[in-house]
Amino acid sequence: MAISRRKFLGSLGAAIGAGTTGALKKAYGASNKHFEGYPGSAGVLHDTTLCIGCRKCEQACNAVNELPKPDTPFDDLSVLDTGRRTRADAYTIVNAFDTPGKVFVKKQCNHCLEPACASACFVKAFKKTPRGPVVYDASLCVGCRYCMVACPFNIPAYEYDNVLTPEVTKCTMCAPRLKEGRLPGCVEACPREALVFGERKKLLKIARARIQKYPDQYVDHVYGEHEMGGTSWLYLSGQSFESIGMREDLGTTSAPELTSGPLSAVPIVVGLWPVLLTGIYAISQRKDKVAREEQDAAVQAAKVQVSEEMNQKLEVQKEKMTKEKTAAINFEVKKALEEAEKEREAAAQAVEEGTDDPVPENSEDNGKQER
Amino acid sequence: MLKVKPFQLIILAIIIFSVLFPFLGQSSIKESTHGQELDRINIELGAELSKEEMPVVGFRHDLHTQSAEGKCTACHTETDDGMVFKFKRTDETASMDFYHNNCIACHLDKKAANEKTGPAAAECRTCHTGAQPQSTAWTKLDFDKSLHYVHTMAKVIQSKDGSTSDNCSACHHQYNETTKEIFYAAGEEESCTYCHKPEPKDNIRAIRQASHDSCVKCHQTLKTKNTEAGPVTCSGCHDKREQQKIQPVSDIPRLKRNQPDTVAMTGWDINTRETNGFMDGVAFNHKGHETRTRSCKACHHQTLEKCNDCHTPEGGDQKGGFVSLAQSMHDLKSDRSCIGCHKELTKNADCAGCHFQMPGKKDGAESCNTCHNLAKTDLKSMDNQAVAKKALTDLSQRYRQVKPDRIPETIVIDVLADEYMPSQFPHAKIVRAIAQRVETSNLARAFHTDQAGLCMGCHHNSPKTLDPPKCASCHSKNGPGPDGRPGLKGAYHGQCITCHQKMDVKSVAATDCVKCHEKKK
Repeated sequence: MAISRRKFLGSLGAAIGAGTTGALKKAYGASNKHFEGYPGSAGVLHDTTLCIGCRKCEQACNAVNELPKPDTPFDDLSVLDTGRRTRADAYTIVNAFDTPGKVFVKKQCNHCLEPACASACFVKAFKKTPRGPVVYDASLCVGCRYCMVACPFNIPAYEYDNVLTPEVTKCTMCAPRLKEGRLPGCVEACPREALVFGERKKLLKIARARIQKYPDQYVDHVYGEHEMGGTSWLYLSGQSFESIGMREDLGTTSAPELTSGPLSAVPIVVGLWPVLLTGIYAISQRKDKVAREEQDAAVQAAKVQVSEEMNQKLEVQKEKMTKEKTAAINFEVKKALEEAEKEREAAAQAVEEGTDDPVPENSEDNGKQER
Repeated sequence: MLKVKPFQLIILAIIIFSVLFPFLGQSSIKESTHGQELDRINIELGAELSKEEMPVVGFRHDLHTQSAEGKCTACHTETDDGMVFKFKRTDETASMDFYHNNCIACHLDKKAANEKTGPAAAECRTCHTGAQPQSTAWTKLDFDKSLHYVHTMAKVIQSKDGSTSDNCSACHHQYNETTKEIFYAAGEEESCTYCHKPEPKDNIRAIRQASHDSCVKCHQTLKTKNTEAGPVTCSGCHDKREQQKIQPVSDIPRLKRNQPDTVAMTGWDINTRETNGFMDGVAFNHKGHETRTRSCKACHHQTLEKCNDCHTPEGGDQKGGFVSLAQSMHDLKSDRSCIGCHKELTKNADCAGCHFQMPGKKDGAESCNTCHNLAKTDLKSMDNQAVAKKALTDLSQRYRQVKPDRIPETIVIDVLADEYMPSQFPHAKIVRAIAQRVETSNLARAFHTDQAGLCMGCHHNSPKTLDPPKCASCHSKNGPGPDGRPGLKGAYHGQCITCHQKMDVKSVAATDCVKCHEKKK
């Protein structure tokens, strides 16, 4: 079978892509499987139409958790209008909203079924207990405050005043009291029963029954049933939840589900990254080495070539010099011979004329003649 | 010395002007597009008549009335029959050119006279602003009994049929299908909206057109005669604030249309008197309801005929919108049905204290018999009206008071006392307050058979008795039940606080704990 290079690479890429995305995200779409909370886990139903804004819950929370005494006493109801949030020394607060009529809304940790704080915490200091509360273990906390960033409801607070051992603080749903079989402090204190503690599933039924009995009184929605994958704290309202300061943009997917995809890629990245980088390093190293060797060889060859050329030139020059020398000698010899001839002729002439003066150079010339 | 030539000055002026006012005419654009004008009339010809499909013209009527100093004839043609409320014509359809020519011509005239005026040619978008949302101040005028009475008493409104005793024929008319004419039939007057619907149908004008043609024309004609008359501007009738200035007439005499004082309402055909399979008849106090409604339309929403003319017992009639007689009387969602309207009335502060906390509670036969109180045998043998009258009298007289000594004065609620002292509950004071509200209302007295029934407002779900069980018999001291039933603390606080909230009892704030129970020392 013939397969082109291009086709091969393409199908390889597709296979890798499918493999990785499949591993990142489970196919929830095709199933009805999703987490609906631990069976029998507890929650609290807050009916905002009943709340009268007496701050008894805040007071009880303060007492139960042994928090410092607040600046304004609990019977000062003017603070309800100041738009407060939970703080290190106030695990729950009640705010008033001016919708048609005044509406009071209690704010505290919603104890998500799948908490964002717990999924953001890399030391597992937060834990969703099967009983319902989301609890915090200060001994594990490193103080990164990722939980505060992760919480969609802006709940966890931090003891900025505590310099040496600061902790993240939030409502515990009175987990220690629940263990003793007692109600959460706020629920016990509420005179109006605007807070009802019970099994979350039963609370949902109660909430729906109330909506059915008083259809004009309620918005047909139980806040917290599905928000952020569901919360243990549930809310009823007569006005739109947006208008009483509750986010309506959260969607129904839990925070861990939203982040599990990217987070599950972490081991792959962590495992493969060194291998990949080492490989790239080795390849680049080898490339350098080969280049260096090639360069050396070229330099050597060039050297050899240049010296050969020089030698050749030298030879030519030598030959030329030798020739010139020979020519010069010959010329000199010839010249000398001619001079000697002339002298001899002159001597012969003198002899002929009678002058017989000897010339000192004669002996030398004679010597030359003899050679 | 710096010497400036005149043309340099001019150029400088132009630059400064164009920087300060980059778009010519911007102020007029702003004024015409803010969209909250009450007097806006959308002029739309449709694609066929206007060659170019420009956006709708938002015409400001009151602005033009002002500009014309109230002279309607500036734009409207006067005929023998009065003013025609069409722009500069009587009957013809207007074209784009017609509007352009007439509007712009007038604007140019005004401009020439140095008066403030609207745009001329080539300022298309100043008029063509597109459809704007209706002003929030615009309200439909409810021509209620009070306004009706003012018109019947106005001497300047004269009858068309020559009658001197009343002037009904001045406005009320009917349409003869065969002669294609309108005529007046005494004693058969109906509401305008029964024929003139929101949209025109066949040759019947829409209510908007019909009422403007009749009301405004009459007002305008009277005004030209310097007679006091109703408004002629848009805001005069349709501005909420203007409407509130109209003083309603109290103590209006009954309308004269031969309507009965009492009606024996039955499901069965009164002629055949076949009563099998029907509920007992209902004695209906027509006269009483007339005084408590704004107009006949409160119940008679389509016609002044009898209810069962359209709403047949089986509801199979298209005329009745396939709503059966029983549905039409018992529909909880409708403000025209007996129960729907009565239920709405229970939301009044005087009633809501008890009624809010027991939505849709029914007492079975007792509840039905309050209205269905005319025995079939009586209706068969006697005069129906007389039977109904007697039943209504009985109803208004049946309310029985409880002997004051049977009502405990104060009840000490100590079962939950912990943080606070026991509550000294002023029981009799509360009973008296509730009874006083019931006994001064004819409606409430008719439906609350006796004072003992009022106990059920708080002692709910218990049988009607002067010795009801304790709250703790049903509401647990240990908090809410698994079925959502309030615990004792929730029940006490819920009952008191909700009632105070619903009945507007401002003297006891929900958060004023010590008002009901003192703090323990």
